[in-house]
Amino acid sequence: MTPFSTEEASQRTEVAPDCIEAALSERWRKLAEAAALTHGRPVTRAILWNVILTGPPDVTRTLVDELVSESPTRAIVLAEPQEGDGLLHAYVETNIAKHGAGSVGADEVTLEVGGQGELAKQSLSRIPSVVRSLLVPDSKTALAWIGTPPPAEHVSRGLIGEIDRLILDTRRLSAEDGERGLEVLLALSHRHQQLELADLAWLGISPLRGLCAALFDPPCDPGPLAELDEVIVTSGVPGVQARALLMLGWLGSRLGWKELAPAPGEARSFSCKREDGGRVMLRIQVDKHGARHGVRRLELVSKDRRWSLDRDNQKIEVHAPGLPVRTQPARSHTLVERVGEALGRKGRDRNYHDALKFAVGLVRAERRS
Amino acid sequence: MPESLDAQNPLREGLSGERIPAPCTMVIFGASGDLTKRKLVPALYSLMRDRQLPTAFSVVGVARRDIGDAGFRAQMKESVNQFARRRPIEESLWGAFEQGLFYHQGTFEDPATYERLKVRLDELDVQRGTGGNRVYYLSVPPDDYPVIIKALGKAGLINKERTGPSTRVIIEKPFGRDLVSAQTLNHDVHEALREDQTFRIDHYLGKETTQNILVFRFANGMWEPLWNSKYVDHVQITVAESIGVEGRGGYFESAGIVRDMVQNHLFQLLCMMAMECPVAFEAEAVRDEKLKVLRSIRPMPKDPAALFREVVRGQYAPGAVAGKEQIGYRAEKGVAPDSKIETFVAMRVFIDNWRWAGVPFYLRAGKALPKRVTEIAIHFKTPPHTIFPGRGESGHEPNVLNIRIQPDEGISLKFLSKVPGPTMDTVPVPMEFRYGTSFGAEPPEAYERLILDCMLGDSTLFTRGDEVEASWRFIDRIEKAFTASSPAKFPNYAAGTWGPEAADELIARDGRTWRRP
Repeated sequence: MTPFSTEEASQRTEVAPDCIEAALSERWRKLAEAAALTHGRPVTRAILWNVILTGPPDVTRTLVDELVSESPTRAIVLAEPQEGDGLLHAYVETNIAKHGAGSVGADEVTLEVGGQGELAKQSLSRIPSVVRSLLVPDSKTALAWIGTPPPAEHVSRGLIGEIDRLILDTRRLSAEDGERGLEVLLALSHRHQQLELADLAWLGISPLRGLCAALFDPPCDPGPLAELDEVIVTSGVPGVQARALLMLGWLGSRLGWKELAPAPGEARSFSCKREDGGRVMLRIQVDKHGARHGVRRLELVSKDRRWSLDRDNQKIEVHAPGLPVRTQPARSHTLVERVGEALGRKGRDRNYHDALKFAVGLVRAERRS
Repeated sequence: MPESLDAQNPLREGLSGERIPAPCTMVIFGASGDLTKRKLVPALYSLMRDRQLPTAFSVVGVARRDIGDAGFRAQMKESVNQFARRRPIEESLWGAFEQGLFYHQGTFEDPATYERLKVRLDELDVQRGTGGNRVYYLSVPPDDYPVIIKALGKAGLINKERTGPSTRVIIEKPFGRDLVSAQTLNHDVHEALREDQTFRIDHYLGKETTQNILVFRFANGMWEPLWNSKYVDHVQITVAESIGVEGRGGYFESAGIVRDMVQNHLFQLLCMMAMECPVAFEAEAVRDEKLKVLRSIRPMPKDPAALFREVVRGQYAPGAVAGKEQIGYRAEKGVAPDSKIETFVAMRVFIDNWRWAGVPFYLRAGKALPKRVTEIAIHFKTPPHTIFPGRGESGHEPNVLNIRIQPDEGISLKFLSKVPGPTMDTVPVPMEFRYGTSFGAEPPEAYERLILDCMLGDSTLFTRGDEVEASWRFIDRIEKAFTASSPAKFPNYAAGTWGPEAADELIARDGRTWRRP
């Protein structure tokens, strides 16, 4: 076989499922040979994570191609097209990104079973064994559900016990689960204690949480946090309100609110007990006119004082009693940026579990009503 | 975080990794200078973009020219557009950022400058909610440091108490030009400020790779057992610049490479490489250990002949760097045609302590060298006996661990490997870690990290007064020898080469050679 260029390495090639590792090694050897022949710098093979991905094929493919620049990973894409011969097909390719004077490359493996029927089922059942054989030792493993989390019987669910981090987006919970999907997620994390949950919806409200906390940093008085009367979250999107629920979940879990109850006669309103025994009202409002963010506005009210954060596509305005209006930058993040964050430090946030638990409490309280 | 916000604000729990400082105003003295334009304001803009500035924050630039707030904002916008890490600037972000930029005209010697500044800062505290917390950045010629610090104190612009609004002062290098001047400056500083309010900046300490030396050494179990005279043969530290003095001839004539690079950057790298593990990653603990290294460096011999066996100086002649013509040092603007100032230095130093006894540290720094590179190369001892003699290129090459500070930041380890084939030939191969390939994300500029740390009151990555004095104590003897004896043959290396031949001879006397970075 002749040495080949980085362009050729980016081509997708079908290989036998039991020859994937050998095929990848052969690619890297040829890339090194090509570099030696041209006296160029060889591409550095880098693997910081094993990432198993499910999701819409076009989205996952683009994501994996771009992920090499954010966080080089061995990506194992699980694909189930409607049409196909029911056999397990494996494809390999190499994603390469320029970095300074050199380049870095990462492996991409696609395991595909198309079609329905018994043969497809059998082929699907073989996938976990192929995935296990492909996991690079000494690198952590993440499972990324891109888009709507797959149903309970999906092949990726069988791998959860063996992974370190689950990346998902609770804004994309399935239509049939709705916000109950948060309960499913909480149950999953209870079943798999080692599992780190990296929720892209949670990462998206991280700037707002930081700014909200900053409202009560010295020299400002944090005292009013213990005496909040009302918290209103305004969402700019219809449907599943994962971000709004998680924002309330974060505040509730940090401030020790208990005894959640739906507020009588008001949709999406709750009352709970503060640590000092008083009550705080929590409200989720939806306003579709304006920026489409899960938390477009957050208001905290204590007696006659009001703090608020207003977000549009470019900035967050900070309003606090006695202070001028301040502005902090905000911007939309791409999927690859978010997944990159989820693979980093922000993907193991110890506050998330508490916030999720509180949010599930809100969902349950509402259902009870 | 030294000032724990977590304890006071329940919403901060778990967010401490965000490192957001308390509201404050940064006052930059020397606001029309190059550093403000190229580094400081672009760094502040990047911090704002990354949401690492407090929500209540202002910058007040102080300089002589009367340009007003609008003129200052326009100048800074142009600078940020030219020098910020992420360009071009985003208009909406800039709009928010420039609302916090203000300009104060005045001369540093005039007490009225500070009286008016006080009124202005008090007004801004009310308008912007900055709470009276101040960071003063002295981006001015060294002679102005004591002038400004004393005037700030007299005008009541410094709170030396541990309670109330915070005052911090960042002082640029050079901190003194010899031991006596550094001691005098330290004295002046301490008249007005506590040591923990004083942030002597050395931007090398703000570099990710410099900080990573400590992580590499003390967060991994495998290196420390090897990090001593039993396994290390010698260490080479190189700080090379490919450019000449580039318009800084006037300054360089009064400094030279030893004052400009060795006393600060190179010695800080030496400290990070050689220090013992601190009891904690905290300012005093880290700086205590660095100070011990500086105090353990064997002083240069008093006898000039013996000293010049340990130190080689050079000055660049015309030549070419990376194919581009480079004029000689003596032809640079502001440089005397018969200048004796060194633009290159190489030296052998020993650290007389238990860990490093007998291990030579070869240090070199220079201008107009073939490439811009800063690295620390640790050369390990070869095996006591090789069973593969004369096999291939290098039966006996040492392992070299190279910590690349800039550019292409990373770490590589050279080791011998068998060449594939029927024989036992060996060849050195590199095992590499590169920041770019492992982390993807672009590392922040050193100034971003250091400004943020100062606002947070964390002085771990700043130089303490006694460290500065200890390094000058060592350097003074070299400077005195340089002054006392004119170099026999200057210039003595062509621009674009790795320094004078005498530098090669210095290391060759020990049977070693300089590494080619």
